[in-house]
Amino acid sequence: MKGNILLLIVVFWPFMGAFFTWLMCGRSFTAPDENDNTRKCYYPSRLYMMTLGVVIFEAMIIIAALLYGPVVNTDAFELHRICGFGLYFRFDGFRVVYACVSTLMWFSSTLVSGEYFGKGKDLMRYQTLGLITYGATLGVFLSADLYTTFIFFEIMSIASYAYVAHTEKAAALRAAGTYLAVAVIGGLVMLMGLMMLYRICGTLRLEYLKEAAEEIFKAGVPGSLKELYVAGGLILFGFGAKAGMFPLHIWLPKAHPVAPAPASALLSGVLTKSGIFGVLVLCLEIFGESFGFGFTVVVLGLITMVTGALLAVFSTDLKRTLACSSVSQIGFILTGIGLVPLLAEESTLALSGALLYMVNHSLFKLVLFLCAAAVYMKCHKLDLNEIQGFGRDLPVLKILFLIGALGISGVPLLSGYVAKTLIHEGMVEYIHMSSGGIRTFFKAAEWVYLISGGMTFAYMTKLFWAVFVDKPKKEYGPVAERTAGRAAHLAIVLPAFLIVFLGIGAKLYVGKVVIFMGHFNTAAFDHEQTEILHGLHLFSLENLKGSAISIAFGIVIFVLIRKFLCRKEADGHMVYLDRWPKFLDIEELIYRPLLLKLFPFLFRSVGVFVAEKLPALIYKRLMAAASACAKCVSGFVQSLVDLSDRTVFAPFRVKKADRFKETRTFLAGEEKRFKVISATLSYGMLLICFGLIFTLIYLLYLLFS
Amino acid sequence: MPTFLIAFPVFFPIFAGALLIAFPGMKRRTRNICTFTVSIINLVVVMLLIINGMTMDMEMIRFTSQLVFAFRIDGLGKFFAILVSVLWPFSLLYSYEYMEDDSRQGTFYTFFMMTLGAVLGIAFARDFFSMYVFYEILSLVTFPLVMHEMSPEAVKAGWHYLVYMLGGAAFAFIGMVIILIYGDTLTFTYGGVLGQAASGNESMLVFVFFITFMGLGVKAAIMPFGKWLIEAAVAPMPVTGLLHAVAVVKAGAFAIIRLIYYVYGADFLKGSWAQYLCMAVCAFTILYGSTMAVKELHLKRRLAYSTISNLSYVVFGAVLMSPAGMTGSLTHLVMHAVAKIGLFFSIGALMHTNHKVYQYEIDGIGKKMKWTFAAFTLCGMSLIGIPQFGGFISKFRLLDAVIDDGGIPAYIGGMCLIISALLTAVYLLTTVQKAYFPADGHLCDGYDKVRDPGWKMLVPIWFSVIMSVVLGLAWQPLVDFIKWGIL
Repeated sequence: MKGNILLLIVVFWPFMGAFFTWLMCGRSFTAPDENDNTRKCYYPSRLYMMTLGVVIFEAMIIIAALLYGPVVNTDAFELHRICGFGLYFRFDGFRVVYACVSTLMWFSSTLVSGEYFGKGKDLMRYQTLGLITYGATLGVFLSADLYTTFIFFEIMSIASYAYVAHTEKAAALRAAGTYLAVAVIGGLVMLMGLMMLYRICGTLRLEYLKEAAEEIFKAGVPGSLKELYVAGGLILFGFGAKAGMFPLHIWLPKAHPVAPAPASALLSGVLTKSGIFGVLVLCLEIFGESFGFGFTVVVLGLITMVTGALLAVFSTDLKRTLACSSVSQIGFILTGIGLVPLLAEESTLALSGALLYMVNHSLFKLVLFLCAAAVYMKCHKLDLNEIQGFGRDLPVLKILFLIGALGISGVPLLSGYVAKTLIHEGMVEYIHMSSGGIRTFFKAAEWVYLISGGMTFAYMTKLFWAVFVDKPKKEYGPVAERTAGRAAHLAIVLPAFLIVFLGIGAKLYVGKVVIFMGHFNTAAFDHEQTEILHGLHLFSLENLKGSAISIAFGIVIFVLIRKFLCRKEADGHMVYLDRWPKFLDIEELIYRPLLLKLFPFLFRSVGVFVAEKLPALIYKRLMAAASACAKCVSGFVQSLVDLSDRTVFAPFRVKKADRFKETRTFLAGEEKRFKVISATLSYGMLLICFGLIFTLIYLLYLLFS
Repeated sequence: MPTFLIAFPVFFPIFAGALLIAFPGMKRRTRNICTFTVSIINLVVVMLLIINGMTMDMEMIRFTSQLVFAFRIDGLGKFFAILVSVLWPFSLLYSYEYMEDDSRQGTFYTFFMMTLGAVLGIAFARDFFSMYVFYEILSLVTFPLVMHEMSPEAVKAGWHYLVYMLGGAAFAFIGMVIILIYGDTLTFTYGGVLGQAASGNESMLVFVFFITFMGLGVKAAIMPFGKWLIEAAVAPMPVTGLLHAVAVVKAGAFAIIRLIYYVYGADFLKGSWAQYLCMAVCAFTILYGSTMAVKELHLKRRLAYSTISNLSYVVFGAVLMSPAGMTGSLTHLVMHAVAKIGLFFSIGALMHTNHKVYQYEIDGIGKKMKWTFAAFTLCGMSLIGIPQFGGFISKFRLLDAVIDDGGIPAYIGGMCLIISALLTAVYLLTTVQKAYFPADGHLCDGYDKVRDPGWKMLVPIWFSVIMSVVLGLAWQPLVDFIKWGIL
């Protein structure tokens, strides 16, 4: 155990907090039962206060760790031999920011959940497992050793199951099953990759990994290089599954609509980022200069981006749209990260764009999902056709949602614009660097990027229009009853403020934030790169043009949506149509049949055949052969007896009486009985044993003679 | 420390079991106290032996210069003996509650105690011959336990059990005779005992190894000889939980490890066709067990299938024929034992207290049987291999051995491990999901009357949970023990 001990507390406090919460509130907490008036001890409010307290205390610990860091002059912490390899944490730029973002997310989410759940059932489970997820997430972000990352990653995956399955509806359980399956498969594949990596590089410590990987690239032995790429691919699969990378994005659109909205905000805002964290580590530390790997990530990023955006455009459910939007945004981030190995030395802009995009996306999704929570807890509907115009007369909610929606679409003066522009700049830079087919590809990629940005604008406008602009179809009741409480508003205002603040003060703060986040393991932006970041002209005409193109596309697509995906009723109301072909569901189309039908069927039929049918068949043949032999032998003996009867014993023959009659009848009875025994496999085995023993005796005879 | 003490833990329980027959009218309480005391005394003696004895030898009967009935304590034996004798008292404790309404408890405890002696005999046997003797004894004394219920299917299962066991032992016998001829000695020696006589007969020896492997594999439920384990699930839960997840089946795996590393020697077998065939058989069994477990809805049988699969993990590690493989194998032997006993016992608690046994009968039951299902979940996580539970460590070690081996067959086996881990997650977590997240609020029949079992059941269950977690967090001592004490 050495280093800054506060880091240990940062990671483990939420776990302890979960335990304390259970201790303090567990006893007095029995689920409400409407028929049972005797159960009075039910204090959800105490539970919320407790959870909130844990989160706030965690924030204080983080601040303390930040202040205390320079004093001990180290930002690392190591716990020897625990869990075999030991645990290793660091607390540098990126990690600090993400610890803060996570804390903010949990704080806001908990604030809202008080009103959202009210006196719902199983809140104890939700809150305690939520705190465990929180601790595990912090563990992932603070880990500086891939083994540590893996451990917390798995804890997080399993504990967050309670988020998805919370409502216990059939759909929720199905989605939760998908979620868990993706998490478990991803975890196992990643484990295999990590072990291969460990074998090749001899370490999983991030600070040594870079050197080790560089050496392998330098040595250039094809065998070990190939292994390194295989390991990298497996790890990418594992982290990508959590991030929602195509083709493993399936859990996102399923899990979000069914999970409670405050939990969705966390799932989409933070948990996916832990997957991104892993991809970032891969691209920065291991494949820092590998074209192949970077290119793969970029391609996957682009596909994810387009798939998510398309799904979102077609979706007619508030939270499902947001979930698909998450997929799409993850694609943007992946593209940015994938550019890092491609650009190598020149990757400053792409990297800072990707880092900033991560933070931004967390904030946007927090705002948007909590707005969805504010809608859902008042009318319990999410379908756009059923919540049409719900927010028309709720100005505060309207503005907050608008900030989130415009931010995520990359409208200038909000923080989304900055990150999007930086990644775009990186892409343009690479177009200038490359040549030939690659150049053409990236030119196309740039357009895909801009159009996807436009689609973001379009589907966010669609949501905003549907919920806050369209005329309501029915009366929703008085405004006062529909307005969310003060705590909920506070929870949304905090991140919304940050979005505006980071956007308007881009020039002032963004550079600083990015440079701070650039401290990652051993790396940091050097002087030259800092200069580049400080010298950025974010609001130059060139950059604004990109945004303008995007928004123009967005407007066109929005018009198309209104035209083709909506129908105007006779009374002037809009009806949102779900035009997405049902069969185009990669999960229902491929994964589920493959994993639940085809594979089990194949395994089972092969298994039953080899383990049960085949031995029985062999045994039957053996028995037939054996009985044929026996018949031959006994027939021979019988014929001898008959012969002797007729010749030698003929004079003594008494009568043609059957001398063996008794024996025969006895044997016939035995044969029947025998059949019952002989029809078992085990009996066949016993016979084989006899045969083998005879062989053995023969062998022994050979040996000793 | 007198050397005869080695024989004590072997013969004392057998003797005690025999005495139980002599006093048929004994009261339940008295008998419980007696059996528990015996198992505790045994545990203490085993511990004493292990702490004090370096490597002790004791010859009991000398038939010829080669055939000697003898005991010895070595690293591997210690390992297995500790595992078994620690779990025994807890299982006894569990059985006191589980068997409380049973009419033939006297017989049950007689054979239950005798089994302990037989298993320890296998652990402490010095040579192949002594091990073979106890191997047969083990088959015979567990046979009445399988058909304890005396229902027609139990009797049928019992007979099948016996035939499988004896048939398997016959193969092992052939192997023993061959070793008697070609080996220098029958005494287990790490690295193998094959001597001068072996040269020139390699291909025959490899073939004999294979049939011996399959013969011993019957106890370790290698497919196609593993069906008995499923049928034997009619036995009372302490039997299924302890004997058919730990003692008997692990004795098979233990014997295989002895055969590979202490009789033939890993170097002799490595790279032979027999190794690849054994690997294929194990890989197949791993997948077979898991797949069948997914389909099975009877929870006890599901766990039995899972046992088939997990035993093959152990054997697979052994047939990798490397120190890393053996480490993985032994680690999984322990971790699986600890986790599986917890799983079986939780299901046993469910069966005993609430008379439910099918997966579709347990909607929402986890909210009432809090302690039982919390344990089930945790042990299940260990078995799936979620870090930082015990099962994760053993799978980690096994995969490590696979990568260390580096061959294509090993990698295929590794893939089977991963697929099987996924299937494990499916068949255990669907149960957990049913128990904790009843779909659309549908609760099982008689939900109001559902309750947790008594402390006698909960203590053993939670002991295995705690062991799973502790071994998962601090596994270094275990691996060190394997590394320094055995290899």
